[in-house]
Amino acid sequence: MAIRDETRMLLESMNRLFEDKCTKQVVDAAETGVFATDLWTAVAETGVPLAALPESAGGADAEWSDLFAALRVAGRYAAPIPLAETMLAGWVAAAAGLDVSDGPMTVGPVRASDRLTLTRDGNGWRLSGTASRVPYAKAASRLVLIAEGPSGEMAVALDGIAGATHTAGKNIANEPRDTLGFDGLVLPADAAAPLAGGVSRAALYRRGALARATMMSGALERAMDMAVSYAQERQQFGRPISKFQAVQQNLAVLAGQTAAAVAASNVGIEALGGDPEREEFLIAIAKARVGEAATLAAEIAHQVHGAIGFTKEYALQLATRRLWSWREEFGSDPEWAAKVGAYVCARGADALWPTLTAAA
Amino acid sequence: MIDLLGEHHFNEIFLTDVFVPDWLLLGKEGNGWNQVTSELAFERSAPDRFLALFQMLREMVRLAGPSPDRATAAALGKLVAQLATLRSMSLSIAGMLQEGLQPNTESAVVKDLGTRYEQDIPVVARQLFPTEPELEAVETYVSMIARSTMSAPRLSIQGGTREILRGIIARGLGLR
Repeated sequence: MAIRDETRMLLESMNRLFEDKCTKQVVDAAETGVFATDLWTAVAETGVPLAALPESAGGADAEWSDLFAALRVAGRYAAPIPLAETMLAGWVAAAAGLDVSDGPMTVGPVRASDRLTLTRDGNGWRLSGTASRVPYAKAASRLVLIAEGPSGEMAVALDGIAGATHTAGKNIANEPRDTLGFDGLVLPADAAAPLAGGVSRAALYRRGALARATMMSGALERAMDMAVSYAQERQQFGRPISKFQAVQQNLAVLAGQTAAAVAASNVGIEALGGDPEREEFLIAIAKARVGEAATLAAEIAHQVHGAIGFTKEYALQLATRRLWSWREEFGSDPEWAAKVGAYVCARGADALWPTLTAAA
Repeated sequence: MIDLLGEHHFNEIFLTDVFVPDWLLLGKEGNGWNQVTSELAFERSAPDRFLALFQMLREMVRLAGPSPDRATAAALGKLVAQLATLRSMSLSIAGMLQEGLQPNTESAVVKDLGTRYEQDIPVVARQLFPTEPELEAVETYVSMIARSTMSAPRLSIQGGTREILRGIIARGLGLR
């Protein structure tokens, strides 16, 4: 994928920002449950979280491919903020003509099995159902949820989680994943609106999967860089361990898996905005392949580091615990691989090559 | 020389004081190894590094039918996701070669991942659709699984062994 100049500039500025503001201390502090307000403010000031929205909705009509490139950087730095969630929340809200917030936002449901319903209540609405494992639900100044309305899917905007039963949870990287229950929550008429522009539960789920795949590609690059540097610094038996062929061969496999993860996530990014079924197929390829890479690469990154990589003090675990969390979120790699398989089988053996190579 | 499939691909050649006129010399004298290895960037990332067993994958899709169970779909989908990723990487290397760059490390990555993928195809096939392999079988799938099982060892040897490729990648990482 050719990198545009705008993308390159955005990546450089995001890299600088995260290098400066997203230190291990900041991530460690966020993992204790304190929201990383300073980091969020710095990222929000760049305009990136809402940049994909039309200018009329407070955005910059930016390319989604650029925003996903920014997510790769956020993944690289284990950024403990709902950047992907805010981008997706803005996208869902704008598709329904609902207002967005300047602050951190989140989005749901993120689980395919969850269901929210909206029923009429006078001029307003009643919201019922469960949205489990919603990222950063408590820290979000606005939650944008998709619910089943009387005549199709609708977006609902909530200012905070008051009115919901809230069960705190977290993934193994200590990122908040809260379960929200709604039991006929009364909402004003303008809190919900029908979705348009191809935005749906299914579209949200696959964009969420691609966001996680892209963040994982960044985390993999981080793990690989750390393993390569460490192998060159660490002396054993009178020389750096990078001089041992066994270590070199492992690092070569790690580099191969990382390159595959970056390529696979780009396959999904290039499909964005095309035919929905095709987009789903290519994003499925991305999440399936990146998840596979994450499993193999995390193991090698740890093996190369030896015991030091297993400590809390050393930053490798910031990347690997996120890889082990994100590979399961918005659908695991086996789940998405099954979708890839179902897609090609439904089209038949003789259509396999055209199915693979058709333009997005 | 006949290989283990019973096929004739290789020959042992003896050269004794063979006269070679200047006009038959390819490239520069003494630069043969460089010539050969620089060509490998083309060979290692080319589509035949991951499409040699495409017909076998297609037969597996045929056997799975239009609506396979989840485990079968996931196993096939994993292979398809690997193939699509390899194709994308190969295309991007083709672009680099077109620009006159020398993506030797990238090509080594594609070949290493490509041969792993191709060697996995008969392994996955025999788990999903077990059969006794027979090279001369009338049924396409049965002869393909025989052929792919027997040709699998060759894949990570020809064009640079797996160990050599990983050494090249390690050099690209600055480790050697």
